[in-house]
Amino acid sequence: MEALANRPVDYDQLYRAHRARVLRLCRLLLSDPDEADDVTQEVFLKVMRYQRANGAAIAWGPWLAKVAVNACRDRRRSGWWKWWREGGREIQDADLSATSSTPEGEALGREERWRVWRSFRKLSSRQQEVFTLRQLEGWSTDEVAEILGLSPGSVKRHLFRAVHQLRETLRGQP
Amino acid sequence: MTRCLSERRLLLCYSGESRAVDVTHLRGCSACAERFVHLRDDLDRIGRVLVTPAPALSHPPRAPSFNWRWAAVATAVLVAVIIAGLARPRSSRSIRVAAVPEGDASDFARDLDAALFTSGEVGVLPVANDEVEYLQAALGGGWPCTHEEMLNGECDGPVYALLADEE
Repeated sequence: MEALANRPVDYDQLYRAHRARVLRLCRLLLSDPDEADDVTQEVFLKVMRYQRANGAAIAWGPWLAKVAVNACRDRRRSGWWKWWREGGREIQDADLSATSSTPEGEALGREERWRVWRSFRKLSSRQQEVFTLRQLEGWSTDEVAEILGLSPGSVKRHLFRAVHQLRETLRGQP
Repeated sequence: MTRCLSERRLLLCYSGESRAVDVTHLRGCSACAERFVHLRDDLDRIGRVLVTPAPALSHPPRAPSFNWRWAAVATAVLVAVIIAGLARPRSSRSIRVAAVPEGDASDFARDLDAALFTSGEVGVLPVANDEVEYLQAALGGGWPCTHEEMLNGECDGPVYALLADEE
């Protein structure tokens, strides 16, 4: 994962290597592709500023994840009115019937997709962050704790609750 | 044989963070091994869903019904107005009226009446020009005579002359 870690930074190389991962993380945390695009741009703008100001080689993977999570948090906070307006919104059925680009995605049941996404959006922000970083991004518990500023025990608790709730949903229980 | 693993311990096993004793149990317990397989399958299914593009959100068709969100806002505003009203200084909310004894009020009314309506001012009335000479004659000690008194010669002085002129 950290192919570019601790090496002198070439911005273009960094952008190509990490953009897709940062964008996916932002999409999961914001549930809005447009907002996620904006935040991803913000994150790489910060990379550029940091690079100009410091120039030191750092572990870019965790750094980017931390900046992206914080940027998503800021976006959620600043968009409280949007959240208020859209509080009653539901997942659009039409989008669930849209096929994925992968055969696996196509094979997934429409109902299951709806339930899993709905349940994921019902998780607390912290649970979403922990589940995404630990389970989907593949960071270790200690790395997630470092990125989110939590203790490893707290990360495990959040992960357990998130997994429990998502599995309950998968079995058809609310 | 140790006790079967809890869901939390199974998750730690899946994450590769479990204790050696739990791993040993998992290898020897078919029930826990089956639960472990279910957990792995569930997490794989969840992961496959969440790596697909997130579905968009839309407003579901709603009947026009009571909106709890706006009701909450309205309640908060109402409470704020009530609190603001109660927080205002009490001195400006009412005019204090001192109690006046009944006797004092009647004395004051009498003094006011005497000051405004003095007896000397009662006679100051507008007088027409043709009455001025009569009035002056009266002030000089004379008095207007009746027509009969004039004919009988009982009037004298300027008053008479005035009355005669009038005739």
